Amino acid sequence: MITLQNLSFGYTPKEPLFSNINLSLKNGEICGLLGKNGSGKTSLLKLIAGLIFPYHGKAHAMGHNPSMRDPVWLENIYFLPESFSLPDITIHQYISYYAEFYKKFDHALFQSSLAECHVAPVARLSQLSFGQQKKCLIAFGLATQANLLILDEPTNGLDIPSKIQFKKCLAAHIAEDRLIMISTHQVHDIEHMVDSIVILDEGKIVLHQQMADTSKNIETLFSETVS
Amino acid sequence: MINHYFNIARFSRLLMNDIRLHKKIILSVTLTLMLFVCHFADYFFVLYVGGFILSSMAFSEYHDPKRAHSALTLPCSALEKVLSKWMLTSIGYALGLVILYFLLSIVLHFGKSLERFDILQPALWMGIGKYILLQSVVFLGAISFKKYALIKTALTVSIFCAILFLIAINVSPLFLVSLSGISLYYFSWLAPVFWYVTYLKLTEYELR
Repeated sequence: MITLQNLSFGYTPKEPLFSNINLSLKNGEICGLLGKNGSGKTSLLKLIAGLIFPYHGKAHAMGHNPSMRDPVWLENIYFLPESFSLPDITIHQYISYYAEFYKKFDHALFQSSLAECHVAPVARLSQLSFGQQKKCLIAFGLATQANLLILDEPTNGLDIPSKIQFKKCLAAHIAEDRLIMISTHQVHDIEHMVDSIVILDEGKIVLHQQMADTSKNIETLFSETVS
Repeated sequence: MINHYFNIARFSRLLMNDIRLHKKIILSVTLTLMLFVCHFADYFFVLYVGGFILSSMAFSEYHDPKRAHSALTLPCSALEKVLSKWMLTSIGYALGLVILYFLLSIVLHFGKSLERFDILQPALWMGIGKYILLQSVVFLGAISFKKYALIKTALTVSIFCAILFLIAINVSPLFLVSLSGISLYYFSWLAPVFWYVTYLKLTEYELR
C-alpha cells in the first residue's frame, strides 16, 4: 500500500514540482501512472522508491518511510528505471551476485520468464540489446517477489511481441499483497492491463480512477483530463 | 533491530560483489603503477597513488544516473554500503597489496638483487596506518564530488591547508612548528569524523 500525504517536492526550492499532493494506492492491483513528458511521473516514482526525498509531507510505501531505505523494506520493492547500465557479466553471474539479496527470490520463475522472452541465461548483459536487457530486468523484478514493483516506462525499447508478452507476464503475477506501478506516456501500452490510473499534469494529480468504475477507455480519460 | 543496520551475511555478499565487479579496475590501476615505477620495491608509491585513485572512484556508481538506481535500491543498509567501499579501498587494498608484493618477491626472487619484501618491518605497518587515516579525506571527497573527485579533493585540501598556514603564521610561527609535529595525532581524530560524514552523506544521497 502507498500513501502520500501533503507531499511537496522540487528540484530547486523556488520551483516546486509537486505541492501538497495526496495519493492512496492499495495492494492487489496494477496502477498506471500517466502524464505528458515532464509532468513528474519519474519523480513521483523516485519519491515512492526513496531515491529522492520530499521537503514536506509524508510518504509511506508498504508501511515504511521510503527515505529511510531500510534494507528489509528494500527487499520488498523493485524499481526498474527507464534507462540503466548493466555490468559486463553474464545473466547467470548477475543472478548469483544479486538474487541472494532478495529472500523470496524465485529462481524457477526467473528462468521461465527468461525463456518466455527468448533470452539465453549464458548471454553477457552488455552484449544484449536494450530491449533484451530490459526483459531481463523485468524477469528479475518479478522473480524477487517484491510486494511493490515500480516500472518506469517499461515498454520503451520493447518490440510489439515483447509488449504483448510483458502484459501477459504482469497479469499473471499480480497478487493480493502486491502492487505494481507502471508509468508511461504511451497510453496504448497499458490498455486493458491496469486496474486503476493516476494522471499527472503539471505536478498535480488530476485524476485517480478505478477502471472498474468507468466505461471510458484510458485514452479517452487521458485526453479528457489533460488538455 | 541490528538487522536493519548491519547483517554480516548481507555485508559479506555486498563486499564479495564489490570485489568481483571492481577487480578489473583495481588490478589495472595497481599493475599500471607498478610498471610505471619500473621496479616492484616501491610499495608505498603504489599504495598511496593507487589507493587514492581507487578511493576517489569508490562511489562512482552512485554518481552515474544509469547505475545509481540499482546501487541505492540494493537491499543493504547505508552502513554496509559505506563499509564495503571502505574495506575495499582502505584496509583491503593495503593488505591485498602487501600479499601481492610478498608473493611477487618470492616468485621473482627479489632477494638476489633487491631487498626482500619484509612484511614484519614496523615501518610498513606504520605507513599503512598513515594511509588508512589520510585515505579518509579522499573517501569523503569521493561521495561529495560527482566528477573529478580526486582533483577536487586535492584542491579543497590545498586551500584548507593554505588558510590554516596563513592563520598559523599570523598567530605564531611556533604554532606552525607544533602543528606539523602533531598533525598525524590530529588526523587520528579527524579520520573517524570523515568516515562518519561519508556515511551520513550516503544516507542523504538523492538521485536528482
